[in-house]
Amino acid sequence: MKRTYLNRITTIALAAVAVFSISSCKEEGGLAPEYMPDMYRSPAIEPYVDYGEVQGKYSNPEYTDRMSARNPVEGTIARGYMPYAYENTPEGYDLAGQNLTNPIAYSENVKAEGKELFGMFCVHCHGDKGQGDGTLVQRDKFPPIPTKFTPELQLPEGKMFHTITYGKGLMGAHASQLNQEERWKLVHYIRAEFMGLAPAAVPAEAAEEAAPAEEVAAEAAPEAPAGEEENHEAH
Amino acid sequence: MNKITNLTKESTLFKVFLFCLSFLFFQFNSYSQDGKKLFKANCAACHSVGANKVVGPGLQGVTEKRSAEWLHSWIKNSGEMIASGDGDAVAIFEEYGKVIMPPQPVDDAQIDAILEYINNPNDGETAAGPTPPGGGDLTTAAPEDNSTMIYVFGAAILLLVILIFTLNRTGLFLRETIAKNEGEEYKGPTTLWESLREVMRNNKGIVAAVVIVLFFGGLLDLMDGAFEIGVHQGYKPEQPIKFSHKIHAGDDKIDCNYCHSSARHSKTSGIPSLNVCMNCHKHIDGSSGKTFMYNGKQYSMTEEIQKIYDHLDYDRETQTYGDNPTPVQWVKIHNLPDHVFFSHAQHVTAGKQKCQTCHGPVEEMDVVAQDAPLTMKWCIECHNATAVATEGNGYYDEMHARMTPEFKEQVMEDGVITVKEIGGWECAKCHY
Repeated sequence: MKRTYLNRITTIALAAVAVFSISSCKEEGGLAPEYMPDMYRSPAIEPYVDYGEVQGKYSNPEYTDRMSARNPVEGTIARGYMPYAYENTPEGYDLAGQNLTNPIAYSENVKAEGKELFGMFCVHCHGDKGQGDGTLVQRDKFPPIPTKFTPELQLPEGKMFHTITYGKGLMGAHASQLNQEERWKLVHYIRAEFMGLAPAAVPAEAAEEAAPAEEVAAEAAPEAPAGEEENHEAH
Repeated sequence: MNKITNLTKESTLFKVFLFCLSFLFFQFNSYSQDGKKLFKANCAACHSVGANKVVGPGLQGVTEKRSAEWLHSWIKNSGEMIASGDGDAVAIFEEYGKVIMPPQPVDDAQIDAILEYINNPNDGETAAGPTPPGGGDLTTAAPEDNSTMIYVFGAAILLLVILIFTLNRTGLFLRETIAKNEGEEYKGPTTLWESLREVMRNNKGIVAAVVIVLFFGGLLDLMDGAFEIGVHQGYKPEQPIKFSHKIHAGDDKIDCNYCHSSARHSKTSGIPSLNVCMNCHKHIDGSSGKTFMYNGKQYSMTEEIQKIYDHLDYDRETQTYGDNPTPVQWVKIHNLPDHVFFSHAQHVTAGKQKCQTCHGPVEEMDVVAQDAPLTMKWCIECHNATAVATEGNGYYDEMHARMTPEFKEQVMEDGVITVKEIGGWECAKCHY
């Protein structure tokens, strides 16, 4: 009788200790245990996870091409993609400067959006005043940017757009990060804020008259889907 | 030299003497330094003083290759030289993609200073010497070492066990001796295990209390453990390329959106493709040989940046891309289960939320760790507390105008509209 009583106590105590040790363990690399991992890591396509991968194991070992980020099928274009007609050559640069004009009507809202974009994509090199003294220049990682946005700078908006699209000199191409609409908004902001070339803000109705809504939509159609595809290549 | 001979003709001996003196002074003290400054301001955006191509050719040894006269007229107006049909000029123009080097706003003396600097780029820098490994502001303390703690703890436990064992032995021996001396038969325990059971038998209350505490403690712990299932807060894997967010987002102050550019438009924030890396790392190629800290260990910038080039099959010397690029297999950190929908665009663009709200101070992390638990409780608590950015949004003005007075009173009683109040707690908003 005593023996069974004591045995029971020992068993319970051991069970408690076991529970302690199990519950406080984490999987390797800081991952917590997962109950039914299929719910967390699906065999279906997920961004930045290989095809058919569930926690490092593959559902179909015969499947060899597992990369989830792929280029679009050849000959297809993403929805909303707008081609850019000028080539990445000195001639294309000059042509863009002569022929391209900003399709987006200028307004205070557009300028504000441009300012936000400038803070995201330009400021670390060009500086918050556009004088080529951003943090990367201050920290001596980049030479001072030769182009300073001042009222004296003679630079047509088409050339600015072309440069954001393809890059120029040390500056890289930003077409994968900014769609055409955003690039034109940036051009508006830079010209209005630093170069003293703010076009007269067009009232919304007049703008619609001047450029039919469809045309604006088409020209400003985001290139984002294409950009995203490019982004996915990283994986 | 022309300048000096001209001057001697026109000026007195004294003036010449002064001029030469100042010339010497400049040459020995600040000539090269001025050249360095001028070079950085005017040339460095496209040229290096080494042999490597940047945008234009590397300028090492250029003063031996070309005459000073040729260089002067090239720097002042290269377009004119090309137009005049100078053989060398046209050859360079063709080689570098027919891009004209813009005329530089420098005078002859400044050009000489720049050329002087190109010849001796390391003047005045030798004293500083190479950066010591791990120097600068990048070093941080080594991670805490807790292996000593384990040893001390283990030794203490071992001591205790030995102590219990010997004391028990002595006690039993004494009891046995006493029993023998008193002529009685010894019935007590003879081993450690038996004496332990005897102690437990005599203190049933304490034993029961300990067991109860252990049991419920274990139960509580089990529940805590159950809440941890699938919650990867603090998950901090090392990445194949030791990319430090602390350097890029913290020190260099590059906006999150620069690299994660699809967060504004898409469901996913986007891991940047390597072309985005190359926007900067075409120039910042790690040739400084500096080191940086990542996960408490020191890494060489040269080696880590070289990994980008390897993946792109990019040749640093010729600045050309090969045709055999390979993907970087970054380790995914934040993972939401399949049965919940989440869109970055909705939170970043429409909701105007800062990245740090959910991802924590990434700009202070060299290795990114999951900061938030990403549980449903965490989601809806934020939806309950966060006000919708209604200001300046005509849609909401219209919506508020159309509300019935009772409903408006109910919703607007605290003056703000939270995400919950526009449906942020509806199941089907995220689960469908």
